Amino acid sequence: MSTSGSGARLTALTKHLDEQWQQTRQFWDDAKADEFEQRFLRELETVSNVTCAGIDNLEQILRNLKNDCE
Amino acid sequence: MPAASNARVTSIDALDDFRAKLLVYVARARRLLDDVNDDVVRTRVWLQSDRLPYWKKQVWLRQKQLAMADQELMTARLSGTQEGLQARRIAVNKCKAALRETEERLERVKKWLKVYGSLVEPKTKVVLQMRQVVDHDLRKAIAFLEDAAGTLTDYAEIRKLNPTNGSAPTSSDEGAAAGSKEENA
Repeated sequence: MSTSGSGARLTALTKHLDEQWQQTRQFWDDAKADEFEQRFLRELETVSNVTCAGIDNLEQILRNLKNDCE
Repeated sequence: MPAASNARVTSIDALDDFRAKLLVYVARARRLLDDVNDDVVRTRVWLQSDRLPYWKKQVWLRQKQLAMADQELMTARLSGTQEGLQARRIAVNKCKAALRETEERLERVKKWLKVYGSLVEPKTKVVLQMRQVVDHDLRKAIAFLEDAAGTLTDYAEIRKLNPTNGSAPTSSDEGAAAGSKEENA
């Protein structure tokens, strides 16, 4: 069971991608860039936040299970 | 090479760089999500194939130890030695406590196995949904960036052939996917 910290790792991964996007934005700043951001990156951020919370919850349950059964 | 062309090349590089970073994100996110999902599957197997037989065996061993301790207590009673009798009683109580604890552990394993399908496995739904976004939506995002970079590359080629050509394309007037601050300047 090695899921420990996966939620935090996914959060960091998505945050890092967003930082890289902000750098890219300095070179790409038009309506299509806005569309790209809204359509893909904001959607990804929302799904990632929900997933991270879900993984944290799952990890807690698996920790309890492990404590009970080891 | 004109300054405007340099700016466009910089813009294309920025898009290509971000596309490369997005590809890295996709690979890492997939691995992470798959690991989480695999862990949930592995944990069920661990419960079923490792913990359940392990604690069943432990219960069996503790029952055997308790039976032996009971037998020794009986022998001590028959021999009539008070000192040995007390030690045997303590041993029996210890064996009973150990058996009780082991039976509780076995019950917990059975309980987890019973609720695993309704409590744990549904939690992977969000993981699978995100896997879908990573596989499907981000693939589209990568194609979007490729189109944007392709449009800018085509435009840079046109400018090389005809440097007096008009201003740089924007996404809106070309239906293309990209522009840049430098181009808009």
